[in-house]
Amino acid sequence: MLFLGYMKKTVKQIIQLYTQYIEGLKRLSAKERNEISRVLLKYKKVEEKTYEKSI
Amino acid sequence: MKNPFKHLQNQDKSPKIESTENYNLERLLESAEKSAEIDLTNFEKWIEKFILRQKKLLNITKGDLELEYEIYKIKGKYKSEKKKLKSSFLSRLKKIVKYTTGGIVALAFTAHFVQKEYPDYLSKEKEPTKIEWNEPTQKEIKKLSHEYALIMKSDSVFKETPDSIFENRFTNFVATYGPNIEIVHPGDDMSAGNKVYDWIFRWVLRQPSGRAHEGIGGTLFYEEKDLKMKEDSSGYDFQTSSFDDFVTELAHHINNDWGIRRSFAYAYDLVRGGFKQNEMSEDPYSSEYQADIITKDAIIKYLISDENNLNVDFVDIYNVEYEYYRELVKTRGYEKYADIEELSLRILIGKKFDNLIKDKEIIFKNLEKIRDILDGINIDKNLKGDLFSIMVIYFPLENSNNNYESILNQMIGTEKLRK
Repeated sequence: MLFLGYMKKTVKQIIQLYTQYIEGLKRLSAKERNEISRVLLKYKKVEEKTYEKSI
Repeated sequence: MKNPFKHLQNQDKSPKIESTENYNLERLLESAEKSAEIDLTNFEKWIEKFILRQKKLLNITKGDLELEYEIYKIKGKYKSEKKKLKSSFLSRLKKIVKYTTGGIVALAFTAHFVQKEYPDYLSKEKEPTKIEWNEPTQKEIKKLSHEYALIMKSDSVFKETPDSIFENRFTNFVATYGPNIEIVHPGDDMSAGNKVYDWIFRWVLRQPSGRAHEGIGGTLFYEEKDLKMKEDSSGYDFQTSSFDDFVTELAHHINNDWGIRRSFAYAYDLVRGGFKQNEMSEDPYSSEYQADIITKDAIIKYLISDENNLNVDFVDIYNVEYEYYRELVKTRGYEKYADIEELSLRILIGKKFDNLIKDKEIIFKNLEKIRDILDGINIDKNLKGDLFSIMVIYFPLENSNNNYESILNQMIGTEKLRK
């Protein structure tokens, strides 16, 4: 089963690599989302304050 | 006078050793790159949707240049980080693939010399393996066992036999001789693992539109586009194409077929054929052909047997078929692919098991005799191939009265006259 074992190991390595890539994308997207959220919230607060002042 | 060998010329398809390996790897990497790009785009779309949703939630309706610029900057920063991640993934993948190919080639050639040491006959398995198949596999086996019962009951002899007898026979057979199968619907579950298998099937093993693929580690891989959607009481369900497809793929999973010798042989054939797995089944000397034609025939003979052969053990059928196959592919270097295929059909696949047993001795003896006679004459290899064709195709190997020396002398005389 040497060949199969070898192939399985390689396929496992590729799967691991691909999973790492997807996880990396997820992690970066989550960080991106948080930063965007913060910017949107900040904008919203500024907008509300401006609105209150205008009243 | 007509050339008696004319119709036999140009039939041979010698194995082509092509170095398409790099091309396949490029395609595999291309496919991985496309997939990685699609993933990246999907994550970006997801972010866009998120922004719209958040704006809606926060009731931000007006467009504000400053806000848009802030978002644009964040997106730009992460876009470049994601691209870096993608490049790193692809370059690491390239390294693994390159290293693996080198390993496969080395193993395959070592295997070529080692494989003869391992017997390939199937040993008797006493009982089915108790195995927990995953849900799609269980469903598939249930469906196929029912299909099998219907096939058997189309024979009037079995008309009154309860379905359950045949359904159990089928399930026990799979659990005994191919218990490690696992069915995956990639369209249903495109996890990282399945995507990687998909790249390998498509680009390394060149399976562009196969319905069912035999994979590494006992996976039967069904492609979504080839599955018919069927509506039943529980809603839509996958329906695989046929009993025949399943048996073809199962032939690669019969316990011993994936033993050490077969694995080595498979690796060697892959390299010998330039990684064209699809074309391997057309080469009678390949392990792929053995599984697709010979092992599959043994399974069919066992499962769809007549009344007289219903109690014959699968192992006996398999081993006899394999004995025949070994005799057929004992090449002396001049036999043509077409003749070996024709002989497989005629003396093996087209026959019932009891006739295989009855004719075995004489067929083997005749084949040996023909080859010995041809080895003893000093003529061109192609002409030997032509003579072999005539002797095995026009004079039934089951006939004990064939006088091959006389047939050969006549044929050589005719050829001399023609010249």
